[in-house]
Amino acid sequence: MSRSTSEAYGHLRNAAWHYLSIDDDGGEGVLLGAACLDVEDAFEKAEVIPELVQDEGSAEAAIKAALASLEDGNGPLVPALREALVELAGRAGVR
Amino acid sequence: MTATVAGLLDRRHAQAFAISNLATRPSEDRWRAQAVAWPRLALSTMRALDNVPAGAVTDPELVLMDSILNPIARSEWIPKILDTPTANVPPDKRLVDMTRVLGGIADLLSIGLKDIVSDSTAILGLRSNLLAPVMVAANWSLATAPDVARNMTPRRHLQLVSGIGAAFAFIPVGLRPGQYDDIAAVPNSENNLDAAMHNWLDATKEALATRKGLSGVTLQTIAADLSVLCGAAAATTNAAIALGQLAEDRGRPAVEAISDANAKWREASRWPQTIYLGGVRDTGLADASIRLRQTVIDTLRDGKSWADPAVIAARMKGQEPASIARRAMHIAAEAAQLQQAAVTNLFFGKDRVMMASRSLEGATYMNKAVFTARRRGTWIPMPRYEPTGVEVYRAATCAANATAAARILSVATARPAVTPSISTAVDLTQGRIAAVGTTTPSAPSQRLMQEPPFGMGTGGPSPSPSGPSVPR
Repeated sequence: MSRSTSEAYGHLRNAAWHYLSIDDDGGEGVLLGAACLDVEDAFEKAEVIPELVQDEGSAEAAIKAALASLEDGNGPLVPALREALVELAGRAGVR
Repeated sequence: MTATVAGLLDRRHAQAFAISNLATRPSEDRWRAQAVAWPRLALSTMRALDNVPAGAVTDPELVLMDSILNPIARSEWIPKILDTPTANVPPDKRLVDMTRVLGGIADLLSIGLKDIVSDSTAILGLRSNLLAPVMVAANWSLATAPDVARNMTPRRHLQLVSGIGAAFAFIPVGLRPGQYDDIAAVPNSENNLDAAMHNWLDATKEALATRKGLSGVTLQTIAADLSVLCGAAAATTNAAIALGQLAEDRGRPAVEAISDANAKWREASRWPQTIYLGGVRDTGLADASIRLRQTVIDTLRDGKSWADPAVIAARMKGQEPASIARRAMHIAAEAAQLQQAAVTNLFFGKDRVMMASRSLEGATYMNKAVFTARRRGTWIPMPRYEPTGVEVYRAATCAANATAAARILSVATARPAVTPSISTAVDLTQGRIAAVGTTTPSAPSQRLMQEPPFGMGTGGPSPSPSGPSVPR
């Protein structure tokens, strides 16, 4: 896997951190955080090792950064990873 | 359909009530049909009573009940000649049905509640609920048995059953609910919260017991799901309070404790970016986790917040929200202990967790390999007792402890609002044993009893002057 997929995974881990840090009993944060973990599992299945990346400051910005990183990615599993990320972005309301 | 102890007890008491309303007259054929069913009924009753988790090692009540029911269960209560029904009289269907339901209750009770200490109130309540219908059945059979010499022994046995049952039937219904009512057998194929929670627990146990090695995503997913479970328990407890099924003063402390556990699992689920443990999730856990979250969304949520209590109750299709909440906390507490043990093994066991080489601080661990890794920005094995790892361990331990505490408060909501005071103390009054609390008749009642015929008519004898007490 390319460096861009590792970067995307790093950004995704940051997004999960941000969602799981939302301090509310409404439960939306933890559900979105768990959805990020589902996508992380897809990266693990593709044997991607995450890279330490700059925190973008919010979960939405981290998901955007992950999608942007995957734009440059190549490899047979990149389309599937991009699809999973796009679905997560849609669920999280990231435009 | 989910079978709970409470549900089966409802069915059994309804059966008993139907029997109690039957017009009964002595009949040799009917009596024989009932007599054939009684050994199995007695055996089921004993099995259910034996499966009620005991509070003490020696239990005189249980010994007494066993001594009454055992001769019937072993078919020693009736002369052999009567032990075979006449050709045209099958075993009584009502008693057979009662026996089956009681067998189901005994099976469920054998599952028990892990790590829950029985209290005398819960045991007494459950025994009352088990024995009161048996009393009705015994009374029915007594009324059916012809009063002839050959029936004397079986009738005496049934009188004993009726007597012990009556003693428990006097326990007020309000004092009978308990945590054991929540024990349930859940079909995995059903599409409801109970099934999703039980499937998830099974998958979690399997994933944590793997020999292939745990992954970070697995541990984070379980922690996040525990937060979801606690959120669901808080939402259903809140719904029970709002619907008037649970008193505010009893439910609110449970909700607060569950919310605390929820927040702590959220904290435990987020691993810092500088820690990494590669590997995929167990497929079973992945599926069960997604199903659990989807079922919580479908049953308890409305958009981005929790649904209205009335909506939640409607979606639960007759299941009590408070009961679901307690079951969620039982499951959460069991999984929490396993998760905490796994995290402890991971961070204090083999050097499997990786950390970002550039985040390693302190000269102790610096060597050539670490310097090379730092230059390349790669992962290195995390040294034991590295603060970031200790922090993840601490978060999991705090969350597991908070879940255990919340479970205790949640279970307490199943107890009766008032605890019965069972006193075995006695007084010696005027040379006679009397139970504590038995008072001397009040002055007006004494006067009434001195007035034949108990106050009827006009006037009556004047009160006798109170003289000095006469020694015995």
